[in-house]
Amino acid sequence: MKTEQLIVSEPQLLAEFIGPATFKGFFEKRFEVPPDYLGLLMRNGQFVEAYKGAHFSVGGLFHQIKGVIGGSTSISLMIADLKTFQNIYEVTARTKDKVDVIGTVVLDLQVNPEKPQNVLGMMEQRRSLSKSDAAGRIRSHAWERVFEAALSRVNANEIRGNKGLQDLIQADLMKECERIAGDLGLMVRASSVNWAINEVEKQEATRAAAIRETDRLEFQFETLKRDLEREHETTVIKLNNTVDIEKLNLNNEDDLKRLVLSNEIEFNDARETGARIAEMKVLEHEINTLKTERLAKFEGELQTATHDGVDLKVVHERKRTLERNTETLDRSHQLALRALERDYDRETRELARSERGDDREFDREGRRLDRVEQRGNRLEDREDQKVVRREDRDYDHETREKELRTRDKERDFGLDGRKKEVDVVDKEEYARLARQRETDKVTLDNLKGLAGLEAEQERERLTRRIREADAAHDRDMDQRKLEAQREADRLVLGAKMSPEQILAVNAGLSPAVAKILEEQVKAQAIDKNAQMDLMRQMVEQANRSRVSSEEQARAMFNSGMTGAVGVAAGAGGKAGAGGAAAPGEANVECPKCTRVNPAKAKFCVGCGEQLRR
Amino acid sequence: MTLPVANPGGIQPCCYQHALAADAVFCGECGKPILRCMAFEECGGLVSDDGCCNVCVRPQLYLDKDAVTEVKTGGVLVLPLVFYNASGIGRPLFITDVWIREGESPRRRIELPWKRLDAGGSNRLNVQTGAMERQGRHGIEITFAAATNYFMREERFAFTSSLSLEVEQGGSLVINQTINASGVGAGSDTVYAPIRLETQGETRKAAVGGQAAELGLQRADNFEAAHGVRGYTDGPLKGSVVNRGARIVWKGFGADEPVPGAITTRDSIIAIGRGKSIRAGGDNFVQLLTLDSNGVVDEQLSQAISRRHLELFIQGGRLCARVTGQSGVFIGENKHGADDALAVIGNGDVIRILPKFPDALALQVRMRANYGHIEEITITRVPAIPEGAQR
Repeated sequence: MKTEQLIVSEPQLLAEFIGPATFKGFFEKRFEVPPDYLGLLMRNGQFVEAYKGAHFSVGGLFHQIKGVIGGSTSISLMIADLKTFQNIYEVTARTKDKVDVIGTVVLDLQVNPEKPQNVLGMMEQRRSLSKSDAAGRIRSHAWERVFEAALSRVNANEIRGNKGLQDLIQADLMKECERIAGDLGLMVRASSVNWAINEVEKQEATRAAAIRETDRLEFQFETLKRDLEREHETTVIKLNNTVDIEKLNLNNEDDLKRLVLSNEIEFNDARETGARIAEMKVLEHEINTLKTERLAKFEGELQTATHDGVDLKVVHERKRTLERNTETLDRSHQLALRALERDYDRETRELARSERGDDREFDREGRRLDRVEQRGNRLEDREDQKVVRREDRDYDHETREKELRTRDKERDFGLDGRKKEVDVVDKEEYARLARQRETDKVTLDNLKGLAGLEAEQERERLTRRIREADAAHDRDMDQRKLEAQREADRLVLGAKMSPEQILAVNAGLSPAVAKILEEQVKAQAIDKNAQMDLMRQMVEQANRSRVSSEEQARAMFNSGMTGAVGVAAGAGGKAGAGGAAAPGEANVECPKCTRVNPAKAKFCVGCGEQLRR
Repeated sequence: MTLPVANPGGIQPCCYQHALAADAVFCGECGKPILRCMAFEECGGLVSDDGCCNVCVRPQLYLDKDAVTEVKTGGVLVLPLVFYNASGIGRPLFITDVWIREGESPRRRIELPWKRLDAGGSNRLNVQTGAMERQGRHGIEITFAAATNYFMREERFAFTSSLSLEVEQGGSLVINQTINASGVGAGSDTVYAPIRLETQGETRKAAVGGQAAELGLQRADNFEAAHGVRGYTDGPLKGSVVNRGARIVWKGFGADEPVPGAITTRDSIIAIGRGKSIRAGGDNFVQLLTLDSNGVVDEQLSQAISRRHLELFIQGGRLCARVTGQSGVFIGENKHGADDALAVIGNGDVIRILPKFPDALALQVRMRANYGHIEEITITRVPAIPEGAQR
């Protein structure tokens, strides 16, 4: 028999009554409610049973006969879709900062399979219930309580990606649905809200875009500015110079054109030059960096090389002290020179002053003589007048004139004599002054020479001292460098050496000699202990023989040293009681412990007693 | 800047030269006692008062080439350290502990996944700093303990190195990492390696040189004493260290009394027992025989003392003993046998040579410390041998 499947007639329906017409028929009908549907069976208006998936048969002859005999019953069936259905609707709410936000709410609803009969509560007077009707009942109740309440707590720019908000909305929505539609057999399986871009977010996005654009423009501006500055630095000065020079030669329009043309050429050339200058600067910077690095490395190496307790500060300090002493001596020397010069100037001035005084005296003498002469003249005139008057008066002219002429001649003669005398004295005085000046000059020259000589000697002495100190310092530095280098070599070589070689190098022998000794030892000794003992004896012998080169070491072995050492090796390599003292060498016995030590030893190697100073 | 010295402890080449003589005790040139390394037979090295052999112990610490990385304020920095054993004679080193200290915070111990460092070999260790919570200069101090072994003996030394990080924050982060490579390494060179990183504008990786930077090492002697790496860790001499050149003064040994002085034997061990002393042609430094009540040697009881009964030596800044005698000894209240590990001898300890006859022969040990350094140890024989005792 064919089974008819009972499902809702339209996909958007959630629940639907199946009328009696579907069941009527002469033959028995078989019906099936699929497992994802719920079947509610009602008989005579009473709810009988709810089935999740059911299979039953209706009608048929037997049932009709039974109905005739026993009376008929009214049977009706309602089926409800148990599958989750989704309902999407828009929501508008206001945020904390008073911005209207639009969102799309997705609700996943389902008929509660635990309380299926409650679906009847939603059917109202209809034969069927659509999914949108069921969801609509929730919407009207939940909006204000869920969405408005949740959104009023956050700002508009905080809603995107806010999982907490989504969880809150879902929880509140489920709670509200349970409250509203729980009795109606409807339950919320999930809900989520997709928010549309709101005004605040739009503004933020616009602002961010504007900031990005501004940054980009600023970067372009900075780049251009740097380019311009670089160009300006390298070109403008050159152009100005050219213009200034050219302006001087500017005569006509052709000259102006030529100037413009040449300027352009100069401009281009200057740009090339500017690029070259920039490259040169980069290279110079690199050179400086490398120089600084090399200097630092060199200083580091120097410090490493002189790490034998040399404090470069002390050396620098000593050098600085010497320089300071030199400067002090130079200064005192200059002061002494200046004092001498001042003395010389003073004496020169005094001499000049005395010379000027003599001149003035001479002038005074001359003026006195002139005055005497003038007075003589005046007397003469007076006498003349007297004579005239006497002539006038006495008329004895001739006698008087003769007398007067005689007197005049006598006076003239006297005056000339006096003049000659003064001239002679004057010349003598001049000669004396000249002689004195010469003497003074010679004295001064001698004085200068003497002071200069002393200064020169002092300078030479200082220079010698500085050179001596420098030489001592250099020697000291070289010595310390040598020691440090030797120590460094020893350590570096030590990394590649055998214990025997290290032993020899520690004892002051060169690595080459150490290698020769090791070769000999390996050739002669039997086992490791014997090797070391033999090596010790060889090192002692090499030290006593002052072996410093490979050739000397080989010569030492060739000259028969191996014999003595070989005997010692054969005897077990044990050193004698003498220790460092070797036969045939000058030895000295320690007065304290009677141990035999080499004569050159300052201390006894057995008890530490001082043997010699 | 402190310059490293080439010959730490003032060991001169003349001392090396005179140390070649097997029985040399003093340098014939400078008169200083010759203090040999415990592994002298292998390394031929001498030690100074601090006991560190320049040939055996030559660790070097490097900051690997990928050391520099970017870190935000609040982030951490990983320092890739490389430990290198620069010993030239094949002596292995053992890095036993590593500590890091940032600024004034407590020192933190780093777990080491390895220990042995063969000569010429290097091991890597990543050390993570704490969060750089503030901008400014961050000082980091790395300290490690390195040990060298020779048969049953071990010497441990602590070395430290410091480096500073400068974290600036002004828009973009700038890290200045300056390695202050100053200090005294075990003969190591000095390297000054300033690294400056800047991030300007956008973040970019800093290009650094392809070489690891060596960190200058300095002996952390104070740390050694404070953290028990060397010296006594308890008792009245806590924090004091026995100098390797400490003067051993012998009392009560009669005519055979050794001359006071440092331990200058070839293996730097003082052997004590019934056997003849070195001066009498034997191997012992001091001969021990029991005396009877008349002051005459008790031959029968002396047979209970082994020929080589006890070995004394200075190790890790402490006076130690290794019992070689069959009957063992009492050191203080504890009995030590030949199978036991080394025993540390403290100030005031009495070594009873014959446990069954504790009063027959004992050695009393006294130490004198001077500013944390024990420079003189007096070993008194009880009972003392009377003057003119018969043998």
